[in-house]
Order: sequence, then structure tokens, then C-alpha cells
Amino acid sequence: MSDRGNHQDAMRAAQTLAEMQPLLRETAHHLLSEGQVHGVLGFCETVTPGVVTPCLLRQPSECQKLVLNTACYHNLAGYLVGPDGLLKGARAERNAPLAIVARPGVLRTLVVLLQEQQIVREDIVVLGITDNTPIGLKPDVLLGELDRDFVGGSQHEELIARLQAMSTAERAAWWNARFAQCVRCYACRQVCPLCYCEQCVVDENLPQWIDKSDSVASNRTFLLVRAMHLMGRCVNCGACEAACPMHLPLGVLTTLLGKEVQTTLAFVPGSDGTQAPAALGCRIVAGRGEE
Amino acid sequence: MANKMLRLADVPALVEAMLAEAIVVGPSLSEQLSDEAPAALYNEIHAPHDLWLDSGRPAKSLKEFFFPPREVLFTYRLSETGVEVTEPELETRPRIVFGARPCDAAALPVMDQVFGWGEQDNTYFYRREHTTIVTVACDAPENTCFCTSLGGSPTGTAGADVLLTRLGDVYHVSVLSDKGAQLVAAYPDYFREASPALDLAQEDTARALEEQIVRKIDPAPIRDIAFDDPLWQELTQQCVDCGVCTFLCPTCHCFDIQDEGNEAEGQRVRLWDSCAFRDFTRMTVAQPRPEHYRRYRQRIMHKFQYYPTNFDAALCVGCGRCVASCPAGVDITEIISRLGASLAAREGE
Repeated sequence: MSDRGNHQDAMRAAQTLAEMQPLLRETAHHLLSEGQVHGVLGFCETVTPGVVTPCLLRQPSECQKLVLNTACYHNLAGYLVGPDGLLKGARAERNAPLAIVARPGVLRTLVVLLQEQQIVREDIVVLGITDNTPIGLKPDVLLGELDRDFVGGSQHEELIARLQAMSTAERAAWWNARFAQCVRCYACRQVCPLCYCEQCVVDENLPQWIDKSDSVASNRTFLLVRAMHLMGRCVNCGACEAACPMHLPLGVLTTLLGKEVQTTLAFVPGSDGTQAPAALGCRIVAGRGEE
Repeated sequence: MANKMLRLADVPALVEAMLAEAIVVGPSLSEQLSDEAPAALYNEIHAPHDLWLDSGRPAKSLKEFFFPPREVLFTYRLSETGVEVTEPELETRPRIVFGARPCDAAALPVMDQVFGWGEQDNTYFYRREHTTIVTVACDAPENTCFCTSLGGSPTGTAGADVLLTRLGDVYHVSVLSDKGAQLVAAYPDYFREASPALDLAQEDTARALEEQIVRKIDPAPIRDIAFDDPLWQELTQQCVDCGVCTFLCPTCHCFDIQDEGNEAEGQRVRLWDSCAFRDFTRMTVAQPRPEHYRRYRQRIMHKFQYYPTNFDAALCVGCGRCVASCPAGVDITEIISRLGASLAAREGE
């Protein structure tokens, strides 16, 4: 893997996704031709304009199919883990790692998955896009630098300010109206790379912790339990919110919990690869709550 | 049945009059959805201005008004004398769906076959009988729509009692059933006589709208596709096993039955279920479809092979919601094309 990273040294970092696309195709072609990876996990076009689909390419000739645009919101790290994960078991059967296209939110997700020992660094070649935020993983190939990720992040500041100005009762009513819209399709959970539990609490039925019913109370329980389980882990990649067919502002929940973790534990998930996970390695910041 | 004419300007007064006598359901812009991305949903309407007839395809189909996502089948209570079982009370007021899309209405006769197969499903048919459906032709079909490949069209009439087709500042009113005739007769102030010229204009518009559906599929070959065709394993590796496609689908109707409560009292409920879920039809001994491709194969085979074998039609109306909303970009129309091409290639050998 000696020539990982050569590309970014050779040229100015691309600053738009369109500029990065040729470099992505060329890099993918190179890695597959040289046998340095066994596959490239990226995005391909579909027959519908503006819609892309995650794809796993194995032949150099397929690399022209790779695209990079703002429709590529899906967090590809999700395909690495979980019951059907691409990196699950049988490592000996593969003779080379897997390349993965990673926008900033996905890079941070990979940091968390590495910290949580769900993936092994040597198993992946990261074709990364960075932004102006700290990311605890250096891409093997830097495709370019964006000012900010095109999904996720703190894109709810205005809404959060509005919610925090409400009374508790108003805020509860606002949220309950949204929880009522949830159809319990679990798209949020299924697209989340950090929801890799083999048995989700909501699928347990002995005992039944959370009703399967589509009701405000059980939808709320499910969505809040999920958000709490992601506290200190969620990197705000935005995939859950983008996937929600009811357009629920799920990022508000994770953003607020993330702020809490940042204030209390001085921990930002995905920002520092040398840290232990928040729940294991952090100490409460002195002076918190004294203001 | 003679067709009628309805002025756009009369719609608020008509809806007001309907609200006095019936529950009215129609597309509305729900402020409950995220502020950033308002989309219409079929909701109960409380005032004429709630209705949003220019909204395109509502995010969810109409099926929840006949087959609710959660339905209490009965409640039980253990007493000293035995077990009291109470059936739920059903809404007795008549219901009018105003402004459904033709694809969503077309899905109802498709579901009727299943819910009336052998035993009649009482609550489903009670709701069907108590509801009159007024559809409105799609004047701006989306690029994901493919209704014309499944017998529908932007002015399709299946499942509807009345079809409204907008022609400038009036609607052409096609009266399609006895229920539709009764509805039109009940509001003579608004449903006016239509001239033969209006009928001709409606036919022209119907043809023009049909041409706007550019996405086509040929589902017929799927009737012959083999269960063990190796292609199944390659088709949808990107699927994430969520329930978006099945829950937004107007014809997917699988359900789960659960008991909520304890030994003393509780409810038996029927809930939407999805073949995409990993625990769908899981049994004590095993999960019959452990790999992802087996679950997606079930969805396609159910829609285009098993249901057609039983009822001689597809379990799909081409509404395109699954294409538009799949978080992983899985496109059922592309799947059908690939399966069809694979079959044709094999037959050509």
C-alpha cells in the first residue's frame, strides 16, 4: 500500500464534488487494476436523474459508473458492519482491503467504528473528502476538501433556537406532532452505521420493551431510545434524516444530545481517533453547571 | 351515468357542505412534517382551506384509511366470571375521500381481493362501504410514476366513484359508480350539467396526460421468472432492509398481530409489517429468509408472480413512491427490466 495518498500530493485539493469525481474514478480504477483493493464501495447513477445508489464495484472497467454529487448522502460505512456487513468474518478469504468513498460525516463514522472495534483499519482504503472540522482519520486518498459536508452537521441551529424558546408544554406538543408522523419503517435505524446491534431493543418481544404499534408513545420511545443510544457516538452524518420518508427532523435530537456530550465531557465523536469512546474514556468537565 | 361539471371556485363551498354530513379526507399540507420539506399527506380535513389539491403525490398512500397501521381487533378483560371480549366501535358517519390520486384509488380493488379472499375482513370492508372516493386527475405526473404500465393512467378510473379532471377553471366530473351518482345527486348546487364539448376536452386532456408518463415496465415476464434464478442474489445488495417501500406502497398489505397488555386486560392489535424486515415471519426454529436477497425476492415475487397467479393482476399500481423514497436508490422498475432481460436472454439461448 506504499502509494496510498500519492494523488493528493500531486495536485491542489478539489473543492467541489464535480471536481472530485474524475479523481475518484481514476483512483478507483488504479486501486482495482493494481489489486490493492478487492472492491470499491461508492455511488453509481440510476435511471432516475438525480437519484444515486450505493454500489460495490469489483472491475476496473466499471469505475466510470462512479458518481459524486450531493445526492450521495447515504452513509456507506453502514455496509461494512451489522449482520450482513461486507467486512463481516472471513477476512482470510479476501486478499485485499475494500475501498470506501467517504464524505466528512462518513470519515467521522469510520473513526467511531474503529474506536468501537467494529472494523479494522487495514481492511479499508479510505477515499475521503474532508471539511473544516477536526476528523480523527487521515484518508488514504484525499479526494478533496469541502467547506462543509453537504448533509448532516449542525443544520438545525435556527430550529433548535426556536424550540428552546418554547415552553416545555409547547415543545412537547411540537415533538409529539412529529412523533405521530413516524411510520416505524426503521429507515433511520437501517441507514445508521452506528445502529449495528444484531438485536435491536425495539425488535425484542420477550419481554416487549417497546410496543410495535405505530402510536405517539411508542414512536417517541423508539426514537428517543435510538437517539440516547447514539449519544456520544453520533457524528451527525445526516443519513437518518435524509432517509426518513416523513421528513422528521431527527438530527435535532442527535445534535442536542451531541451538544450535551461536548459540554459535559469535552468530547466530539469522530474528531479524534486516539480517544477512547465517550462512555469509556471521558471525565466530566470541572465547573460544569456552576454558571 | 351523465358526467357533470364543477367550478374550481365552488370547491370550498362543496367541501363545507360535505363536512356537515360526512368525514372528509383529502391531501393536505401537513405542518407536522419538517418545516424544510413540506409534503402533502392524506388527512382528515376540518375546513375547506385544509385541502390541497395541487400537491402532487402525497407522501403516503390512501391505504391507511382502510387498513390502518394499527388496528385494535378486540379488547379483553379477565373478570371473576370469565373473559370479556369487546369489539371496537367503528365510525358510523359516512366518509368522503376528496382529491385522491387515481393510483391510490386503483390500489383499493387490488387490496379488496386479498381482504375478501375466503373470509371477508369485516372492518376493512366496513370502511370500504362507508367511503365514497373522489379522485382528481394528476396534472403533473412525476418522473417516478409508471401507472400506465399497470393499467392505470393520470385519469385512471379504477377504484374511484367520481373522477375530477381539471380543465382550466372547471373540473370535468366523471361519475363512475352508483355511489358516485349518489354523491353527485346529493350536491346539485355544485355538480352542474356538463356539455358534450367538456367530455371531449376531458378525453383530449386524458390522452395528453397519459403521454407524460414516460417510465414504462413490462411486468409480464416476471410471471415466469424462476425462484432460484441466480440474478436474485445480485439485484439489490444496496437495500438496507427498512420498511419505506412497503409502508409507502398503496398495495403492500402484510400485517402482524400482537397482544398489547397483560394477563388481566389488553388489546389484540393488527400492525403493518414488511417483508423487508429481518424478523418478518421469523419462527421459533428459524428465519425463513435469512439473507437479504430472499426478502427482496419475496416482495417482487408477491407483486408480480404470486398475486397475479391468484388474482390475474399485479400487486402494484405504479405509483412510484418506492422508487422516489428508497434511501438506497433501489428502483423496482429497473429490477423488473433486469429480470425481464435476463429471462429473455435465457429463452434466446
